[in-house]
Amino acid sequence: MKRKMSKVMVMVLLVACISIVFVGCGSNDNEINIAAQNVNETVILAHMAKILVEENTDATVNINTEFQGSSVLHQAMLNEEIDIYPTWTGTQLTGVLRYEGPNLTAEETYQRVKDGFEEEFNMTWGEPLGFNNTYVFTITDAIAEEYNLKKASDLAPYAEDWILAGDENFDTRSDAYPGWSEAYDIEFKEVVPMQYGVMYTALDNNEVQVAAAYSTDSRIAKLNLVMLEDDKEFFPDYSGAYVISQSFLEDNTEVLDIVNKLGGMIETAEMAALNLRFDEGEEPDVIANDFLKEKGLI
Amino acid sequence: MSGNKSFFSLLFNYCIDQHSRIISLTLEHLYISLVALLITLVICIPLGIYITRNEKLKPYVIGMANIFQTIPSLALLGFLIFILGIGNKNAIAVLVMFAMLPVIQNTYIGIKNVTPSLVQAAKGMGMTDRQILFKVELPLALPVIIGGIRVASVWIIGTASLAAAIGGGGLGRLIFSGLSSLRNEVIFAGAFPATLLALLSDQGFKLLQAYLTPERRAKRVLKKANRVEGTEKTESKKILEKMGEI
Repeated sequence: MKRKMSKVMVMVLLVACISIVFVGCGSNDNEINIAAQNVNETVILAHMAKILVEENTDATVNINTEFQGSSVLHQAMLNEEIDIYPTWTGTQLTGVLRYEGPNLTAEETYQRVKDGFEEEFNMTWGEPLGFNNTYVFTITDAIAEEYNLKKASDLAPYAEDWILAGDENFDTRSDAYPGWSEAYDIEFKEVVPMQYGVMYTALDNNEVQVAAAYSTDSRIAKLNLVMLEDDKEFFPDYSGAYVISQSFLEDNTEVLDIVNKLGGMIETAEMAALNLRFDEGEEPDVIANDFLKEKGLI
Repeated sequence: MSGNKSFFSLLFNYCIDQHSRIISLTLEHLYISLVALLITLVICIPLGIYITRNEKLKPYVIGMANIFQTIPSLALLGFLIFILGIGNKNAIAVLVMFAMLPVIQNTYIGIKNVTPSLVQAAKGMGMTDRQILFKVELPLALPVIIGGIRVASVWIIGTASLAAAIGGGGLGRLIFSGLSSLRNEVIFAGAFPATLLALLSDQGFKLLQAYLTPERRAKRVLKKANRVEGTEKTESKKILEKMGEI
């Protein structure tokens, strides 16, 4: 008898849970779901989109910035659970579209992901936001001054004595060091992959002389590092932009124009500065609001 | 289930393409682990013996090893960057600190558990302290000490994967690379050999441990004596038969 009771209880609880999930997912017509990967940059961009959409429409905007990785976001949009998310062109080119060819220019990359997403997934891309979060070789200002280094090809005479640090994939990915080394015809004494954050300590201690950082990383400015220009334009393009569901746009055509107000508005250094504010603990909605006001968008 | 199928084919292709890299990283993993284990033994066995002679120090030594073992190794790695820098050197230092406890503790317990009457007898026979240590206590404690080394070796091999986080080598490179690019086949290509190394080391030390138990060693000694004495049923043979019954 007791056992039966508990079985019934379990069933009731299960049904309750499932119905809560379904109710939670059911989207209201006047609701817009913005999502983002939980890293500084995309969280800020998601809040910018939220503020802009709220200013210009009377829809309710839901925001969820706790997604782990852009492939999860893509899946969620395929399931029509989210309508807009910010990401990087290069990420989705190699991730969702599984592109493996030679590195493309910024325009080619954008065109390819836009066409690919429109044809295959019924999703489109907003205009590129202006910044490019790609690999950039960084050195300490002391070394930059001592050896007078400004662009990546300036490394040629010194590389054979220097150690280069990169993230966990940097030594093996063909769009990272192996390809770079071929394009520039420069080989470092050693390439050491490590946890991304450790690189900055290693650079600071002069255990490595060059580190392949991500260009919008806030630590570049914080540690006074010098970015070497990628003068042969080798590294793939990782421009930030919003992906928008086209079935959502059918009922909300104005949203594309609203989001495109940000097109080309954020330079790489500006994005890095916003990321720094986030990393130092400021709230993303405050950061987003300040930036939009500064640019006269709200 | 297409996900599963493609995982195995991805893994297969990856292993074919990258077999030389996987092998060299496995060897590097083994090298890091061996160096760390050797340093651990050189430090910890004498330390374990020392605290059997100076009981007052025991809580401090064991306590310190306990603390080292409790600090998350990744945090320790990060902290030591400021002292030892990046790379295998730092990783080996962390591994040694991490694996000290079982070796010190088992050396101590092994020696302490030697039957006091045996030590008394050795003393009675006129053995020096050094002789008692090397001829009586250590041989009898050996299986327990090997037990500690066995635990330490498995810990070291498992934790050595973290070396890659701070620019060291070993199979951790594959694991971290796979984690950051969401490629399960790469994670597996690193994790599987690491697990295998740990299991092999565990089994190896287990066999060694059994081989070195006082009973098995006595058997071997008696058998040898038998062969020398010939086929006559000797005293030693009788003992052997008795031992067989145990």
